[in-house]
Amino acid sequence: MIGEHFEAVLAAAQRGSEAAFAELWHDGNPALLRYLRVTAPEAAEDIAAETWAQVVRGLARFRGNEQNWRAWLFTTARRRVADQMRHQARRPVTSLEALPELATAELPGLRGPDAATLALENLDTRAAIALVASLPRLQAEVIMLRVVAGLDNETVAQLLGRSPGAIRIAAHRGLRRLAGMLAEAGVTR
Amino acid sequence: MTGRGVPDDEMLYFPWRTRPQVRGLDALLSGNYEPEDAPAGLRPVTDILAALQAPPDASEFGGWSQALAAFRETPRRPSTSHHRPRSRRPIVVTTLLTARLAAAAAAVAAAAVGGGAAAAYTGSLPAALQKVAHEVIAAPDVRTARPTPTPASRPAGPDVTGSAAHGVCTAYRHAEMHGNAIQRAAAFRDLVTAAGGEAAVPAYCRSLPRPGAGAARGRAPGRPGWPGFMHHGRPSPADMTSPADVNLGTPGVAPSWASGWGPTTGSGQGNGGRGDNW
Repeated sequence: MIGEHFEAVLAAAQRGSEAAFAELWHDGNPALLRYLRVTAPEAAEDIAAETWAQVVRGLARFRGNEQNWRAWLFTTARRRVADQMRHQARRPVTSLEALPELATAELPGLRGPDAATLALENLDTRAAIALVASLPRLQAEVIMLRVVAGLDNETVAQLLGRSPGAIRIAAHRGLRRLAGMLAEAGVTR
Repeated sequence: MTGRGVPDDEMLYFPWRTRPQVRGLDALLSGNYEPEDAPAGLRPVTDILAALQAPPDASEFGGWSQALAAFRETPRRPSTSHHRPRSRRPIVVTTLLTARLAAAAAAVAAAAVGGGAAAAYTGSLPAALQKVAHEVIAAPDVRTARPTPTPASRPAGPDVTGSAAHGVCTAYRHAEMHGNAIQRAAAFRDLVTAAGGEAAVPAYCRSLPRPGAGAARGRAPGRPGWPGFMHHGRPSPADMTSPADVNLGTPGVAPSWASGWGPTTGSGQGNGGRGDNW
């Protein structure tokens, strides 16, 4: 996170400073890409680029602190993912929750114990992302928004249109499921 | 964060009921945990969560040039300041370049139709284009249309170690907030030189020691992760006005961000202190 300088960096970016925008981008893009590799693994880079293009267009009008900024960035990304899925499916969908778990479907060989085995051998970021992507969609998304995007429970609840309690439950179930995958693969700690 | 604010009927379905457990989960998810604080049964996943938060690698910065291009192309609204906003310049330059390229293309087309003149004209075209490009690149505003050096071409700049480098970043931030155009340009130029390119500036400044600033950043102590985006503190109260095209877009949810991040007190450190001279 940018921290105490966020307000100054944001203001400078809004006035057109490329260096300030660079700071916002370099701070946010890795987390954005990791989130998108779970929710739209086939199109993560493209959607990240679209997200930034849209954010840039609204940047001058944005008001808020750093938490608000992250919430906006990830809300924008999430809507781009929904657009992408609509486009791919070529049929109207009503919500992200109605969609199949593409993240799992598009990562063959990275489900459950296999993913855990991979993670065991090389617990790098990519493996961890693959593990989370094998979770049910809501659980995966909640974990990425909380852990990687750095959003708090209430913010994630608003972003996903769920109650805070439902978000906590999803997070807890997701973590337990991850623990179960590791246990199944023989990881103890 | 606690279970406070969760309606009672939702609490009925909580898989864990006690506040310590809720706190443990929250700590785990927000990265502010000690391994022994993790709820029992979830300790093995701390490695996964740490890996999710690992420092970024180069592949995660691959989209920068595209993002920068989008930033440069975006028209900015007129500033409330009476000064002409700097950010108009890229648009003017782009328009000029487009117009001149169009003129050149039209000339080529005309030359092609004109037969004998074609060779003479096409022979000079690359130089003409180069001249246009040169004029654009040499535009006096250092922040526009300047090629971004790659990190590989890092020049031997000023002393880039220790407090001197930290001073460059500080000077830049100070100039951003308080300086005039000349001071800003100078500070920016020095910083880009020191960092080895515009794209490297944020990482460069972040990599520098910041005397006395660590505690104020709200970083979790002892965490192996990347000192960036993911390590967040609690949101501070601040006014939040959403851009018109930003809504949650989910039926049944208040479309306004204000429902969660409504106007509150405590944002007094904001605009009042900034010299609004640009």
